[in-house]
Amino acid sequence: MSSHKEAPAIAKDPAADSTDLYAFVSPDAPDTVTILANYVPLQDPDGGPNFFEFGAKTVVGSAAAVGDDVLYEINIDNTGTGIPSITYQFQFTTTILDANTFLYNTGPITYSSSGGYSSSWNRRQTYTVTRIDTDPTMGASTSTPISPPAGSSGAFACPPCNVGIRSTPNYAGLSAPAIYRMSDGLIVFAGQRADGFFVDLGSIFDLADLRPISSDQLIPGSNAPGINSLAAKNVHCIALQIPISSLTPDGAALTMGANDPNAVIGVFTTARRQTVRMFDPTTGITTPTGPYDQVSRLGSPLVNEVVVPMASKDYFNSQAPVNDSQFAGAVEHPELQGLLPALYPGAFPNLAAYSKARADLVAIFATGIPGSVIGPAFGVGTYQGGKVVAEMLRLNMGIAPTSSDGTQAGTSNLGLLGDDLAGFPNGRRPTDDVVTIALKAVAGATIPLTDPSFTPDAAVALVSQGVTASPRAYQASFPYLADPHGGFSNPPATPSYNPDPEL
Amino acid sequence: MPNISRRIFLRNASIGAAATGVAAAGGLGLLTGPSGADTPVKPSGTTPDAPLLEGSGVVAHVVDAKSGQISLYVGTKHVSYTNQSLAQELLKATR
Repeated sequence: MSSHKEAPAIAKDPAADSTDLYAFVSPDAPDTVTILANYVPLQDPDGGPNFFEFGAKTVVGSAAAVGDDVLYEINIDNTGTGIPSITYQFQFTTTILDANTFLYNTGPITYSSSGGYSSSWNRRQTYTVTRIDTDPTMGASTSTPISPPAGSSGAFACPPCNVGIRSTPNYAGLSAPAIYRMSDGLIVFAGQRADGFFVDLGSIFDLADLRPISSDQLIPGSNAPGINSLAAKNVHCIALQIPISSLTPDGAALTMGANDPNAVIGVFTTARRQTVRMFDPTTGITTPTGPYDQVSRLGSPLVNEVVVPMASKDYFNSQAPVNDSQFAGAVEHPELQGLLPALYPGAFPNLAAYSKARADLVAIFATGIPGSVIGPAFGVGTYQGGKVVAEMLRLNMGIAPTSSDGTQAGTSNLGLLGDDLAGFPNGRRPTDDVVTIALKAVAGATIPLTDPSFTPDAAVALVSQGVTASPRAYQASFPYLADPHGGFSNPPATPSYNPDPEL
Repeated sequence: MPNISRRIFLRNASIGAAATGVAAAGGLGLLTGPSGADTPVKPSGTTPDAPLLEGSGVVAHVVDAKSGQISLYVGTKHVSYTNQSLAQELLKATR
């Protein structure tokens, strides 16, 4: 998985578990960047009666909010220091209208422009958004609360979970009002979506038995297409579409395209919980106290998942990217590089003999890729000047999107490996096959970027998880991840019963 | 269940949700008390700048009773505090 349940501690705290981070120049609005930060992994659509939600304090009627919440952050480094100069913070509140029912909704949930969501929706979430601008060298910061557009209620509202065709009829009519378009061009959404990540979990974590080449595995099987384990799973998404001029250090639009000195940003998400959480057995309420400490982080996919050793994963989640030089060894000599030749005997002789530090992987994950190693069209690449080793998802905002809509028709889902400069590891689009890209990279496909003397093994071309993304998970426009799969229509264990076959 | 009954059930349930919510709310508020401590500004972005509703109270963690090192947690703040006699006193109270 990209980062679903990637570390032992966060696997037990889904509300704070960052699952995927996407950052790309918006295909239908190329003067903006879209950032999608996903949380709450592996949601079965029929997950009632307590449907999935963001970590939040709870309000019952007019009482004070109680319980512990999660502070969600999207961080942007536009100076190459590894320190975010822009942070968007999100804090959620859960409101229960009727304390005397066990129901998530007491009837069909509807929406009207005059009255908002109907009172039949009993357990709902709203949130605040704050932008913090920080001078990375001086440390001074300014905080700006962001309000919903005029005419909206006091807080941003999430749409309900897609419970099913009786509870949430016309789901598109429920999710659309939760997309907020601000006068300065910022667009905000937070709520449940279809999980656009695609991965064959069953094969990857069964000793990397890639189904398309299973006959060559150490314990051989039959070759077969991969299976998308997330085909009918949902996720909770925090989505921003931000004008590029709001992301540059000088607040100006790019004038030199991919070569602009302000073109590259590094993006990472964090989730924080307060230091102390005390459970009161007399009320059943947990009260948090103290600073918000980082419990989850995510930049590039799969780093904490398959690069950082098991015993260090929770620690990695607590660390700021600016401190990442301590993890450089795991990137320079990845364990998976040693495993592949052992699991596929005879397939990777050149990789098995390669003992140098993986400068290509350090560039992809921790410093950015200099444009010169790809070609002139890559401009300054994703390189941030090499000032610091900091694992982030880097995006050259001056490289135009390959597709004009969010379904990414006509693009290569292998990104840079498929000669598509607008894809991973130049940022990440929802349709990028980051598992196959990462497998090929670790198998040696990207070593020649920094070491031209190396010849990748022929087997690298065959390395693939063999999974095709489901078009059902995407949509052409913001937030690009489609409406969530419905609960009634997607009982996970009974696909033959499924009247709305998404499985 | 006939269609008409189902519609009535759904309509009644919706009305009920709005009516009973206020009545249920007060009890929980009494249990938890008022909230609303100030939110300190921190440069690292580790403290939310949006207004927070917080639980009241101070948590003291005696990190090392011998040296008197105590961590205090209040609202969204952490304060390191050293008081050997207080730390010893607290330790004594646990016996």
